[in-house]
Amino acid sequence: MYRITDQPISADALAELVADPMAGGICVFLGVVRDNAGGRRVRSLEYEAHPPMAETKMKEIAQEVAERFGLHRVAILHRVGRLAVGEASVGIAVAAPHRRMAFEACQYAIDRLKVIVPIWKKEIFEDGEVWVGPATTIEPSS
Amino acid sequence: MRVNVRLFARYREAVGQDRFELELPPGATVETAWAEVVRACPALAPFGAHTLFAVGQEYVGRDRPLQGGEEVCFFPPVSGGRHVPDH
Repeated sequence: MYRITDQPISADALAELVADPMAGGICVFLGVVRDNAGGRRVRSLEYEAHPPMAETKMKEIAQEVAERFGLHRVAILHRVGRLAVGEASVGIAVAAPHRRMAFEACQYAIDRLKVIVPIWKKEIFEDGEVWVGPATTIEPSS
Repeated sequence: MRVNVRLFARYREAVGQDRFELELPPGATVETAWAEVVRACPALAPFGAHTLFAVGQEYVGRDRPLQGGEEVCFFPPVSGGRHVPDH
């Protein structure tokens, strides 16, 4: 599943999405809202996406994971809207026969997400707010 | 021809709209459309070199020709100093 959602992201639900009898390990990564940025106290973060394109790019990442690691059980969710400190903004789960590949593929997926998935983040402080540019570093894929 | 423009994040807030139609001459490119948007909202001009473009759901270069009815997206630049390759 590759989806932009306005609902909370659950690690358990992510793990269930990729569950597979062939798996010996499931790696789940959650990106969560930190309480500070650039020395300022963060009250919340607001995420905005281009949902259909973001989901298309998430699918491309899953295809890349399949090509590079031979793994086909990948789930990627990214939340949009206003999130409080501690809430998960992004979740990725990868199932693999062995743990090392699960970790490596999961790291690969989040690194790629930061590069090609069109999502932006606004930091909301006690005393103001600022778009920090995309939450992702977007670069053309071709 | 008319194309559909979509703006996101700080661009959306700067212009006050997230989508609108733009009338462009035949042969117009993504760059032509961006220049029109900047003309209407000069506050976006400083971002030009770092803006990323998409047509449909694919990243494209600024020299990509546009066709009537297409949707062109303007994506704000990255802050924080990470390098975004030109395209």
